[in-house]
Amino acid sequence: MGIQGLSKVLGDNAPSSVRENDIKNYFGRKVAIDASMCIYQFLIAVRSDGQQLANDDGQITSHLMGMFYRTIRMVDNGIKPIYVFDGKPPELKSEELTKRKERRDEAQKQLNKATETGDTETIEKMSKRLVRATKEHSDDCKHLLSLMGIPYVDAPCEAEAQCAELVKAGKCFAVGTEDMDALTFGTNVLLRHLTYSEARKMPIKEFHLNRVLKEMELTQDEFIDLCILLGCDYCDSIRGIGPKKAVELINKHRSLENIIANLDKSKYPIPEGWLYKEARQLFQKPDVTDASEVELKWTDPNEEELIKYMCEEKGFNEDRIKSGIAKLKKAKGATTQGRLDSFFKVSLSPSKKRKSDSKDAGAAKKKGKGGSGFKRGK
Amino acid sequence: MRMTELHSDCFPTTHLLKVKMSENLGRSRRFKNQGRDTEDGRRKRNDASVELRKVKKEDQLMKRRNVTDIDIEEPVSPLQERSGNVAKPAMPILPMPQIISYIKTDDREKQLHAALSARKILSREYSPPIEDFIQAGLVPRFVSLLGCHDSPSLQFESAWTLTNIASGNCDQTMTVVKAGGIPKFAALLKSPDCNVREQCVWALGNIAGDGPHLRDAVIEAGAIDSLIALVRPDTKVPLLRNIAWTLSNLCRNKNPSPSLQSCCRCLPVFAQFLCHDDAEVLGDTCWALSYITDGSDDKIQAVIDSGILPRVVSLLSHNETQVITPALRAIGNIVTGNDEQTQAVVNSPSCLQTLGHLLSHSKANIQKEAGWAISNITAGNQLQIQAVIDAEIIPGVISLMSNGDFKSQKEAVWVITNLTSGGTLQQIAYLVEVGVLAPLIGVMTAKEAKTVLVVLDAISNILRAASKYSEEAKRLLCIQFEELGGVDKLEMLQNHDNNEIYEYAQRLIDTFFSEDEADTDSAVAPTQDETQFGFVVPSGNEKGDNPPANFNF
Repeated sequence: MGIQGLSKVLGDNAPSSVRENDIKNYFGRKVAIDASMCIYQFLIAVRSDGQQLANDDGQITSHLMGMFYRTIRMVDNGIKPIYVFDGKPPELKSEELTKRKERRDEAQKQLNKATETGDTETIEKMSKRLVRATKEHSDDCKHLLSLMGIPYVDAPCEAEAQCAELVKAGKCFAVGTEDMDALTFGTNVLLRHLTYSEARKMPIKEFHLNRVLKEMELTQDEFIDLCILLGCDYCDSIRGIGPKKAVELINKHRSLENIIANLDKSKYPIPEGWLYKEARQLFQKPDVTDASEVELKWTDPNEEELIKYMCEEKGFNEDRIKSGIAKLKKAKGATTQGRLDSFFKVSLSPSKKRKSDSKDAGAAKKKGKGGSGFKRGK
Repeated sequence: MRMTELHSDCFPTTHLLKVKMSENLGRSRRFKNQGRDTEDGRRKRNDASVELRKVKKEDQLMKRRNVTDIDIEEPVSPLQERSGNVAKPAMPILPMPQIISYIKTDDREKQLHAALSARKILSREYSPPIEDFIQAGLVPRFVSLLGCHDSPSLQFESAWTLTNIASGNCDQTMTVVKAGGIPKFAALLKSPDCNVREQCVWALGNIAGDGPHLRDAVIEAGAIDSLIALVRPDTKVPLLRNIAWTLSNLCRNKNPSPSLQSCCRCLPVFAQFLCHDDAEVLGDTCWALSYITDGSDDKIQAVIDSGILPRVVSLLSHNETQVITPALRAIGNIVTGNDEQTQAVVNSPSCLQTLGHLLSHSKANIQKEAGWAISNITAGNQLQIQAVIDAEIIPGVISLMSNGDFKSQKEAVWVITNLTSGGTLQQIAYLVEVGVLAPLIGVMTAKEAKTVLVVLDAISNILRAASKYSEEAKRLLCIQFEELGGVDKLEMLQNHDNNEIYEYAQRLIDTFFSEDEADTDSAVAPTQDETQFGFVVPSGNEKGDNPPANFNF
């Protein structure tokens, strides 16, 4: 998922691009959230005694529970979330998806075995590995969101790419996802742990692309090449090249073409029919809906329908849903004020510091030696 | 000999010194010049300066005669020096074909003659024919001659020739590298011959200065440690200059920038150089520090940790521009770091005051750089902003905004914009009090769109600060802004080509100067003197626990 080991690479090579922040500090911010990832997360994490939540009819409700409460947590802190749902996966991803399916099949096998032997630990572990976010889950969530008055967007393709598009166009401040490739798609700010439960007390981790590029002295295209080298969902990477070597190579050669030309192929064989150019293209120009065609509107929650859906249909406790609705309503009033800076100027840069820009300041880079300069005498 | 006597007569002080030296002979022998005869050294130095004088005189004579015959020998090569007192007939400069044939022989004399000729031809100031030598395929030959350990003179002349070839463009430098120059030069840094060592320092400097790639190649050849080893208490100034400059090139260039580790290796010797008093050594050392600090925060931290900050700050008051410029750049880079790193500069005694003085330095570039450094301090936290205010440098910033050249004005604007976006109400009120509005309105119509936006930010921040305090403060500030012509300018900006500017200006007018906002009813007009309005802010923090102070402007 995402880019192999990117967060660690950034921590090592661009420490100033990463910072932790309290959720309160995002008051008034619009954040595009990768919905498919959230649902998956909820299906795994929202459990009771290791079992997914379900209503009396046996319908799974973990995702709705997560979506409802964690959205409220964000809204309660003044954040305006926009959910973005995955569309059709890009063709390049099919290999990755096949791999995932193989892993799932393997997990299924182990689960069956564990069920026979009654190994509860393995059962729980494997059933988590088998979790898949289905279209039904997504549809449930979309319905819930529309009742809550929270906007969502259906991406034509990858959700992260669509999220990044919204940020690039200035419609949102950041992308909320655990998937680091939103940065590769060009979002300037990525927030991790945004949809974690309050109880985990996990601070939000903020990544800033502009700082990454500045500190690592890379252009966005070079950064994309680095990500492909680290390992992405769309093509293979070169065996034997770890994060350290990848950074070194990109610094030295600046592009995959140059790296390939200079690499010792006997030591690092290039994957056969390597589709890095196509993967790069996908990161540079992903299939997204133009941000100008996306309308984002936060409306009042539909109290009546929400109670009907969540309590009557899905069996949630009515009092709790009501108190959730109350929070939604209260927050709606508070956030209309917005942040002063979003009214006057959107300053996305985490620091106001300006590095020097006179590129060629300095002493002479090379000096010829004249015949009778300051010469050694005797 | 006659010259020597003349020289001593002209400078009676040397006699005095001589006496003193002999008195102290016993003591001084114990350290620095252990094992050497100080008298002998003194005589040598005298001879040297006489030699230099002779050269100079000859130079001048030549100029007067308007002859530029390169054939005339200057005693600059150790070749002549080493040949001692026996006057050797001057070697004429060989023409190219002969250089080519001589250099290929095994005859040391001929090789030397060819090398000497080559370096002389390449030492001419005006477009030395580097390309001719490369095309003639001589570079590999000169590189291989670097290995003639039996003839230091030949090594020296070859190194000099290659130094000048490496001073050319990237391709030209590359020919020296491809011929295997780097490891040879690096090894010769340990040569027993001082002239050879020094020349190799220079050659490596030229190669490293080419860019990040060759810089790293020089570093990988182990040059840093060898260069550092050349720095001893008795190292002569010209060599120190070369070492400082070459090391600075090893800390230089980006994409990628040099490793933290290699920069850290140089820092102790830079600390030593900073205690030197030669302006060139100081200048190049400060440039090196400026290259290192123009990087990530961990590099800035390494420089701070090396303890050199106070010395660099003191160099901001040096009397040579060649020292101030790089010292200022290094300080400016450090304050682009995190709050703590910025604080290290703020805490350096008299640093802020000195930066304030530099705002009115005679060189416009230094004014600009000082403004830039200050702007990054006002981009810091409120304590740092307060330190800038307390150092009383804001008036200097304001006058730079009115009188500086455009680049300096821009930096002054940044100082103000950063201060207004991160400062307390009181700090912003202070700005208004010392008269920031008029010059700020002055630069609203700057040509550069980006600058106009930064100015509008400052104005918007100030207006908002007043509104945050009270309706009254806002009203009074708006009136003053209008009287200074600010509103007219905002209206002008509504016609600006740049969309962002036009929208920004419109927003400001809508928010602060629209009809229903501007209450011109005489009943609420200020009771004070027409030209004096006050906007009252709490003097403590924004919460206002302290009694309010009234700022009149």
